[in-house]
Amino acid sequence: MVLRDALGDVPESLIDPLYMGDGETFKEIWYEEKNQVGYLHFDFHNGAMDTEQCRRLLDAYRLAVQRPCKVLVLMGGTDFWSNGVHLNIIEASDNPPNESWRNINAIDDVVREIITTENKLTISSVWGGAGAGGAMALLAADKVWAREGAIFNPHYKTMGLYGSEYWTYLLPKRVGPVKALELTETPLPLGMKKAKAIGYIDEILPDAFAEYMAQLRQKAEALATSPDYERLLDGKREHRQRDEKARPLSAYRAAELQHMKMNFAGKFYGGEVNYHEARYNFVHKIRPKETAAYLAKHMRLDMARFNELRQPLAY
Amino acid sequence: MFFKNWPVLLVDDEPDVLTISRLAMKHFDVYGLPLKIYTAASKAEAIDLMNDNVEVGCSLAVAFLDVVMETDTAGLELCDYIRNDMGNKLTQIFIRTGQPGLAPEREVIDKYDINGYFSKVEATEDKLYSLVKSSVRQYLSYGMALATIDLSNNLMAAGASRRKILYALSPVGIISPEQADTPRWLIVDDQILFSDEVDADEAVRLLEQFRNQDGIPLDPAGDRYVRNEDGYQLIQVARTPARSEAMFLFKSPFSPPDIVINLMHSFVKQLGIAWHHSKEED
Repeated sequence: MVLRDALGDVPESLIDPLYMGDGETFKEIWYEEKNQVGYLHFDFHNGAMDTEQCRRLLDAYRLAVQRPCKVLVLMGGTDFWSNGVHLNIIEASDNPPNESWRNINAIDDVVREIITTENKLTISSVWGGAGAGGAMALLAADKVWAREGAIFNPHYKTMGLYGSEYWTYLLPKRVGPVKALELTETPLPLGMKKAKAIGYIDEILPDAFAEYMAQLRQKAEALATSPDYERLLDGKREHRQRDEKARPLSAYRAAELQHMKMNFAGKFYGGEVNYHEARYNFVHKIRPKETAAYLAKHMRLDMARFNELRQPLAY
Repeated sequence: MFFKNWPVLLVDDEPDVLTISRLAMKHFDVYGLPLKIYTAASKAEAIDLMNDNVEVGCSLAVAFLDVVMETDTAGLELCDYIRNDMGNKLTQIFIRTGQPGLAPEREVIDKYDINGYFSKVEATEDKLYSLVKSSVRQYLSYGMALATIDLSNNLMAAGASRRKILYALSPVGIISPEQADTPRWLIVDDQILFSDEVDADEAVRLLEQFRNQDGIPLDPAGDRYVRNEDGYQLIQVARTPARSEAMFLFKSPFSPPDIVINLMHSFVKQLGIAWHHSKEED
């Protein structure tokens, strides 16, 4: 955005949607493949994914699932796996409610594609952190592995949003309805030990990059060559069919979007101002007027309890 | 209550049908507001438009769908997408087909959640006029009813917590700069919620004006509805031993029908009751 005017006349030379080269070029999405495992990287600045980036990621993902590998690892980026929709692009657009709507739909399309992948096992492997919609989107994969020091912020409330990315399907399925409510209603960061204890993630990977990568590759390849591979794939398909029969994915999306409509464009009694105000403050780095009540209460009443919430719980 | 126009979507693969329909509807208005007409030439184009445009995606009042477009049933599939994939039960959907043989009326109305069916031969300007008028009225009433239920649920869920009640009310009571031409205030027990001093002064001035103005009685307890010539309107719920005095003061581009006034009255009454039974938290 900063260089938009300066770069207006510079011709763009596009790389392949599923770039597999090793040339030194600017790339946000690229793909590697080794020993029947595909690694799809999507390294978006600050983990924010705008409408156009989501659409490119969707194209790349569709190409990646057609590759002859058995396991597809969703690598995210170096700083963040994903932080959901791109609030800066939304704020800078001519019509932020409209851009919000486009972005939400585009990221939903990516998540749906991951959930409905039937021909291979998928893994979200999180090196950086993940927040908001990104922390929900990573649950779309069959398995979630994360670096020990990663931090998730799996909630939307601080942005005044109900949330999408099929979180109403994905989160309770992983952690159960009670924990899902706790995670979304009391917006606190989530460490990986607690994440594993409550079923949010499946595996914790080492903090050092070389070891992280080595272990990731070894585990992913083991899955691809596992004698149980076909059984796992069948089980995944059956599970999805069962879930679809109980309540179609489209119904989860529709219900989430119904809530989001109120966030973006309520015209019967009025629109949701909390989201627009929170987004403006976030983008323009405006400090909240006061500490959020749920945090303030913890701090005032019981600092020990507040600290405990930030620590991995003993399970 | 805060619409500035009524979004209408026409989907048809015949460009002439779109052009003629657009021309025919150009000067239609409902409750004094114009239509805002969007067009798409196929099911796919319509879906892209709904996902790309927040007004079509979130506030579509009426849709006229052709049936046979990229496939023999594209329009019916589009209807299914709107109702089920988007969860939109509110938009008034009409099937308008040039080949009724391919999509017989009874089969379509039995199978799809539509509001009406007619052939292109029947689509005179008068027919479109009456359909648009009646369906926008239906859309507004139904939408207000659903929004009122939503607000009531949120008020109920807030329980006795003032902070939670205020959060539930914030979509109604806080206005963003884009909504500056349709200001609104919630007033409970002489307290103007969410307002700064300038806003509050304006509300006080309007309330003073309304105080001596005759209104329409809404119930024997003294509740009333008042409207002035500038489009400012007041729903006033009187104080009783069981509830606080509560008011919804707002400016809307149109005069609402009775059913909408009754729905807003019901919301303000619930606010008066919820406020009366709530308290400030420590």
